[in-house]
Amino acid sequence: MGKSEDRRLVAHLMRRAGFGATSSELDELSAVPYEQVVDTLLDPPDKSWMGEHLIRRFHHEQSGMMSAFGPSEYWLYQMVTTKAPLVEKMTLFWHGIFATGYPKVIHGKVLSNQIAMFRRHGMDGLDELLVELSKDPAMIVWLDNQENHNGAINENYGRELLELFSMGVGNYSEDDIKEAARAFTGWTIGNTEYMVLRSDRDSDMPYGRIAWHFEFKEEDHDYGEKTFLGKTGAFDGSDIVKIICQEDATAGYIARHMYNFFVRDEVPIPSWNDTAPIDAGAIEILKKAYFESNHSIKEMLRVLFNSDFFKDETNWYKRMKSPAELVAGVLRLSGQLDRPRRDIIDHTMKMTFMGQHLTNPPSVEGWHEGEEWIETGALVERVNFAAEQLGNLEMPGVLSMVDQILFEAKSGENIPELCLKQMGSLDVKESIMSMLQETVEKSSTVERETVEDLLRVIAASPEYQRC
Amino acid sequence: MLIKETQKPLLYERTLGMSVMEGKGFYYPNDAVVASNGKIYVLNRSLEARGSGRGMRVTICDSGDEFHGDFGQFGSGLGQFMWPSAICEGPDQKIYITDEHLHKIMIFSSDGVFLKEWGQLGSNPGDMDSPSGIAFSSEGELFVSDTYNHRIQVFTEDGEYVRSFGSSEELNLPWRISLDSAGNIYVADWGNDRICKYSTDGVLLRTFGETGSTEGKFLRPADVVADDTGRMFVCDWGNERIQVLDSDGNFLQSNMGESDLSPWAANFLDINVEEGEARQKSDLHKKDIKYANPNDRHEVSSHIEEYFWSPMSLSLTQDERLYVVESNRHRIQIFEVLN
Repeated sequence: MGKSEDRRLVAHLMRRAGFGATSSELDELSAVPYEQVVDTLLDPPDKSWMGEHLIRRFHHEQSGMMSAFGPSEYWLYQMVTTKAPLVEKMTLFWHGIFATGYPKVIHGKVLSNQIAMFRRHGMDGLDELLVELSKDPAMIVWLDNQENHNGAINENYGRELLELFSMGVGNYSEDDIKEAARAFTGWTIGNTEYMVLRSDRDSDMPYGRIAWHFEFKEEDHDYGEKTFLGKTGAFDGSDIVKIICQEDATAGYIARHMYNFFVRDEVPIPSWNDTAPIDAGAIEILKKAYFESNHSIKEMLRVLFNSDFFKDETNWYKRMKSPAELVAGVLRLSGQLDRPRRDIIDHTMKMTFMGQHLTNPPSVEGWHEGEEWIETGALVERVNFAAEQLGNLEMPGVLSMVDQILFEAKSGENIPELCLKQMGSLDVKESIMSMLQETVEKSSTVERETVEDLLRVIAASPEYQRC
Repeated sequence: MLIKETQKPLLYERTLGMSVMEGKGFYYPNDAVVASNGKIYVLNRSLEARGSGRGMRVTICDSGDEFHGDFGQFGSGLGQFMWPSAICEGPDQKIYITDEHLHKIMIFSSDGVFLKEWGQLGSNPGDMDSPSGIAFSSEGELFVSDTYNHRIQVFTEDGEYVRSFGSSEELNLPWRISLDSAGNIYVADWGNDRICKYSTDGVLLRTFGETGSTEGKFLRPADVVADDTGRMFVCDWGNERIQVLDSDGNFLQSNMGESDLSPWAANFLDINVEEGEARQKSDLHKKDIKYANPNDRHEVSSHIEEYFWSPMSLSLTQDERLYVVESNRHRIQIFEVLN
């Protein structure tokens, strides 16, 4: 593979495993073997970002997390400034599956804590992640497990754990749901009555939110024998997770989610039972990695990113970027968030207008992704946002790109191609390329403003809106 | 033989305020001044103001828990705030307020009437980039922490530039500033995790502290005030505590916060019976919670209500009280200062 081919492949990897890369980042990354880039993404030596202290000093709301927007603004800062983009991408991946939302929890801090838990455990073994999820205070209240008592079960968490979080519909029985619920009795939050009452009333009086913590109430746990997925024992929640993680259906369900998120848009999840995967062979490869690595998410990802199906160019630009991916990617390129700025408020709001308010999914099923992201109004928002940011010379990242393009153009290189290189070694259709060439040809001299126009056109292109 | 226990300088006395977006209470308060008229002016940053900017205001109350009204509002116009950051009293009982988004300083009368403002973004003399701390000297000069310019600027009470000191080699994103009775200037050198003490004419005399969480060390200090004996009271924001050092920087005391219910808070719980009863049944002092990172003081403080959570500002009063403004808990813990 030649140097430019290496660069294109790494650019594809960074669009999928991260939020895209700048030209200078691609220069560095394409100088080392591809497998090494994957390894670094999976085990980043540097996880630094703008940092919690700087954010909290200026954004007091993102410190106390009293509203529905604090957690998403705080997270957007992390996506935009992190040096470990796959960690954030996996956090986004799990938030889409284990979708937990503000309208019921009414507590930004515990939602932000759940996101932090995904950040810590998102590439661990699935068993560990699901146990953490089951103990997560926001999830407990989101799915009513504080009302799941010995002798009076509430099935919500048990049902969604099986249906949406691990195995998918059709792979378990109603009895399995009930038995799972029994195993999770007593898994609740501390000071349940007061915390839930405050949440119900959206009360932050007298002294602001009090963060929630997991509590196991022995006296409320059903220690009796249960039969779950054909196995019998005095199971508790951790045992239930262990049994789930051994199931072939679980491996297949997680593998298909990964394929959908990192390789190619699948049909919406409710149709998975009726529609075969786009690439059944790829799913089998990922399932094999799951079982051979003792359910390690990280090892599944390593296999995925090094696979032929991931590198296959027919799969490039076949995923519609989610609003979070689009906004974070644009802001990484524009360089606007070099320090805490009130602009984060507008950017997060724009992301909401595009259809994704992080930590506030439409339902427990999360967001419907793929082409559904670009219903008419949302597409206009997406194009406008990208074009306004990346066609704006006041943005430090844009100015830097423009000056680099003009510098390299002096040696006679093709300006549209230089623009595509700066935008992350993007490939565009011939029609877009022609439009870019025409813009250059119409200009008597190519100034910064001309290049600014070209970047605006690229930002609005279908290829930039996809990854 | 009995060993006499050394007297700790800080003794918790009481708490003032509660979380309220409008009227009698505070919402993300980030600074306060106990003025010469006996009133306390509390600057409320509130939410980020996506619409009306509800809750962004100055609450006026007193140490006897009387509420005297409020003034100020969100906006970018004259006398309006977007990121109000610091408040102090100037000559003639005028109230000075900085805004670190609009890069300006505003002057109000003691009853909240807007009088004047000045300031613009920049790095030239007199320009500002996120002014975040403000204090008057006894000679009537106004000292301002010019955060992103990593310097302290001095103005007349009417906003005319006088001089500046400090640089990025000395200061890193300084936050609050205060003066002692001798005219020495103390700066919370936030990004360098230390306190800088300057002479009146801006010569760096000493620094105190270094990065850390043990005694005498700091993590992103937000504020510092000194009493007549030279003892320094440091708002160790990143460690969610107040530390007291002697004039040589020796550690004297650390306090994590001890809040109980303020009269306003107690009244709220009396009226809202269901919440009050549910609270009675709760253990809000639980210390054995398992944290992902037990050393994450911000996280610990988010669970334990009596602890400081984001303490941002200190005021030392003539009646020997230390007021600690806590942003995330929307209250002020008051300590008696013992000699």
